[in-house]
Amino acid sequence: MNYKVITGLIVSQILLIFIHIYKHNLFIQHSFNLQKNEKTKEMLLIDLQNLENEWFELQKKSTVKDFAQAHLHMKPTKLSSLKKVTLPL
Amino acid sequence: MMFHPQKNRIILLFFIILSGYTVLFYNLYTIQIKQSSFFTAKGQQQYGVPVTMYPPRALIYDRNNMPLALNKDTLSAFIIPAKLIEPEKIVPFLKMHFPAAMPRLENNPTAHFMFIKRSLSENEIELIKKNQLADIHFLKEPARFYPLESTGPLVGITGADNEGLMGIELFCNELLAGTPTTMLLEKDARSNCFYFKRHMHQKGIDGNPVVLTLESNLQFLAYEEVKKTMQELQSEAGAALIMNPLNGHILAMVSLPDFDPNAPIDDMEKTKNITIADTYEFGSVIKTFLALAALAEKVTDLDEIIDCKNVKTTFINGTRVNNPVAHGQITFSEVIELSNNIGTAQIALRLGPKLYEHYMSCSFGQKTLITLPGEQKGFVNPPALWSKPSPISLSFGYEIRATLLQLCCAFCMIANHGYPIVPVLILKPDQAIKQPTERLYDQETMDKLLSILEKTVTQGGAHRTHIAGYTIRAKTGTANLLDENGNYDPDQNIFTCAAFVEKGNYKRVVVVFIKKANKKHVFASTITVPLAERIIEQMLIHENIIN
Repeated sequence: MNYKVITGLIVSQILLIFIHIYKHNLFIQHSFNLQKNEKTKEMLLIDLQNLENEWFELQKKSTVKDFAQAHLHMKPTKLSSLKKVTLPL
Repeated sequence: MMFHPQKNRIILLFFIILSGYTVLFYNLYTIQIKQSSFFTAKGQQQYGVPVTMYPPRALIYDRNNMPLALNKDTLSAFIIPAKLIEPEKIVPFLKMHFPAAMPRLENNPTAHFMFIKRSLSENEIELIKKNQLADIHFLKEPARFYPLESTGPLVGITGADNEGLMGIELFCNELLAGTPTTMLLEKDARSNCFYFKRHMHQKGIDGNPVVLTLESNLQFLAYEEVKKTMQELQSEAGAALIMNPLNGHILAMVSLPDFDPNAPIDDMEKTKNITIADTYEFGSVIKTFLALAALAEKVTDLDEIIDCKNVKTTFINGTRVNNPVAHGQITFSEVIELSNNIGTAQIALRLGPKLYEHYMSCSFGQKTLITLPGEQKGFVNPPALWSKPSPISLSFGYEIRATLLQLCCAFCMIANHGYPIVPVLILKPDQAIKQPTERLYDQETMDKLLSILEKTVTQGGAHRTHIAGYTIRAKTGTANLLDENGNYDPDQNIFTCAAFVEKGNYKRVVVVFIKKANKKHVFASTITVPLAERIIEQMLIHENIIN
């Protein structure tokens, strides 16, 4: 009887140790995944930021003006050349 | 009694082992219980890595949510002087390409960290990569990117540590920067990127974005026009301000010379926002406020005939007064429309010290409530310091120094029919600015002044600002600058034009300024009036205020 109890206790102890190790491994695994995702998010945010900067760089008013005047032969508008038209409903 | 040497040896061995265990348990007790906190702290020091994370700096927007300041990453180069792998390569490289880093390296040869250069340019990054130096490492650092360069002196810039150095970046630094998050990461002994646990010490707060009242398109249009005029006249400085007099919103604030906020600054003088940081004696444009004072005090009226003596130079109260054109007997209204100094001098003498009080009540000589760094309060010569010519000088805009913003606010008060205006530059977060509700001048006085300013555009010195279909009122000013000896130099002038345009509920005040021109004998009517006209025209088109 005593032998069985002692064996049972030892086995359950070993089992608990393995469960604990497994739980700890799971924690590390998820923690690692979390950090990996955090890093990916960080990288994506940097990419987004760079793309946004490029987008606004392309929209720079001086660049747009130079392009419009040099390539599209556009000229500044005169107030006298504009007329407000009101369409009947 | 018999002697058992074997038993004694066993007893001795027992005691030796016992004492060994005693020492062991005592040590265990000391480590685990008595000095537990000490060793725990030691362990945490080795495995716990304190980390401070700064939130990204919040952005700055214009009133239409177009960004004026964005974030970007820059690369900085550093070395570890104490652990140089190829000193024979790195030293000549630094001497040739980064000589500024050499004295620091020579002074700290055992340092564990040293920046070679921060915020490297594309060329510098290429150069370092091309040379494949094992000792030079790169570090990513946050920095700013400004898509609208013309806002440089206003929005300002950040330094190498991403702290605001000037302008809005400095003024709203705490708001934009937020507060850092501090945490302790439990890592393995190698302290790799991976951590086991994260203990939050202090949770940071993200920065708050700042929305300005600026309209980036108007800013650009005004900037282009001022720049063009400056290039034509080879001027030293130029500026333009556009304000909505109904709510005090500043829609454009142009200050030239300026700098590229995305490039290193070569001249600190260019970083100055001259609309708030420089004060000038604006000349005849100030006659508007003399007229306002005279009408309010009822020392004259629009139709009163003033004898301007039909001469270009005369003496009034013992003071020599010059006028570029001779006028005879003209009405007070015409005195202001034609900007006659002889006429205004006579009115100033009638007003006496009250002229000073009126100038002060029009917000000259005191800071506006915009509270931007570097704002000057200007100066109005008080009666206690007056000499004999002082009231006459004050009547045509001398002995009164003001910033362009003060001038613009004073014109906003006129455009607002006597209600003063506090300039507003920051829309969000709400600054809780309450516009004054107390009227400074009654409707009758304001109507009279507005009729003078309207005639100035149709008949007087600002007649070029006339745009058919719009009510435009304006006043110009040409003033001499002081030379290095403190004398007024007739060949060094500043040219100002303050105008306000009205159509129905639409109201805008435009103030333009040019410092020095390469032409002689020119006036604001030929320099700043066409400039103001072009800006007003562009503004009306942009804001869809079309006939």
